[in-house]
Amino acid sequence: MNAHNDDELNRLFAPLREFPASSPDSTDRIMAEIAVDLSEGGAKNSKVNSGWMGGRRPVFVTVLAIAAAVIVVVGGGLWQTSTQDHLTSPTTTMSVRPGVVRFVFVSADAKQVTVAGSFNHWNTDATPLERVGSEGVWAAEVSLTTGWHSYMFVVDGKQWVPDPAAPQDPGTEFGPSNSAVMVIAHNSL
Amino acid sequence: MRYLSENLLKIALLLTIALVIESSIGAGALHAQHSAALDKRIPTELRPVLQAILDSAVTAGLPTASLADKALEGVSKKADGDRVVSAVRALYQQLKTVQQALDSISAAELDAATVAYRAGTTTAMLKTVQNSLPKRSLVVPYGVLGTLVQRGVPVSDAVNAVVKEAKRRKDDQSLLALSTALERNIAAGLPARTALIRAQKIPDAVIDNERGGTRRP
Repeated sequence: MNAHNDDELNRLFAPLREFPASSPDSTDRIMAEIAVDLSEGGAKNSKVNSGWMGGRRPVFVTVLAIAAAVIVVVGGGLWQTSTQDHLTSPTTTMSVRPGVVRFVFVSADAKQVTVAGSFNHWNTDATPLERVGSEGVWAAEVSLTTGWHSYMFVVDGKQWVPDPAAPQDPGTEFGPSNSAVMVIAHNSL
Repeated sequence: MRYLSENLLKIALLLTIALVIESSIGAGALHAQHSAALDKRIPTELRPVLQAILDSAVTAGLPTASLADKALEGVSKKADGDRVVSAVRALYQQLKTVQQALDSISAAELDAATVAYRAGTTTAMLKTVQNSLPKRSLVVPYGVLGTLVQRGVPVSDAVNAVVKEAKRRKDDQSLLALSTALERNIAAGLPARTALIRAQKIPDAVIDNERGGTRRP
């Protein structure tokens, strides 16, 4: 990426920096579906996520939708070619805020998806993902403590599936390597 | 004088009894804590041996949570008992090795350092990181180091990259950005070393712009 493109991007996205949106890209439609669904209670079953954004959810969703639309219209091909080095697809697991991780799994065929990991003592029932939208996207937001957490998705209660785009946890004692997520402290931001 | 001696004797006796009771309660609480970790999902036949490992960990000053979680992971994945015990025992040894190599380290730092060690980082390299980054939490540096090494970055390159980035910016955000960029570059087909070099060129503006939107390591 050259300096010119950086400047151009900074200029284009400067108005968006005040928004709490997290790196939308060309799959904005899925992102919008996730956001809408979660705002309507899609993550209500996530025990540790209740109260997320509180009464500001509708504002958040609106802002997110506007942000996605602006990026698609204004960014276009420039976004695809110049920012993909730095930004993450919303259809992957990532932290949406310090201490809160959004787990995302894509499967059109799954009937049930949960996430089990060191944060819930590998309980396959504790953290269900909700189906969001019609694209086979499953998501849940979970508050995690600072540090390293291993996890895997559990599909239909029996199939353990690592997160394909996530870093791997070392060790294969029980089959394929787990996926990993690192959560940083609030005060480190 | 005799009266004073008798009273002192009584006080000593009471103190001894109090100490015995206190230690019994403490041991009971410790055992209860372990029992809670080894919840009902742990098969009965595995509990004694796993409990013994956890007790040894307490004695050695090692964190027990990650050991209990390793057991629960194996049971949840329906691994056989021998495999579960073997995995927990191996993790115990790794934690102990790393603990002995590093000075005064927190439980979270030890867990993260052990991740890096299990990925292939030597204890000498872990020590280098600790010496290079005094007066800061090493949870994220060690965690990111583990991520880089696990992805195939040569250990010395990974250590240099982590130390350099941690010194350049004091927040953990830039370390996470480094790791995330590496993942993306590898996913794009770059060899690990090249992916790291490219990941180190993330502009500060991008890191700052993504605050609050932290991502995977």
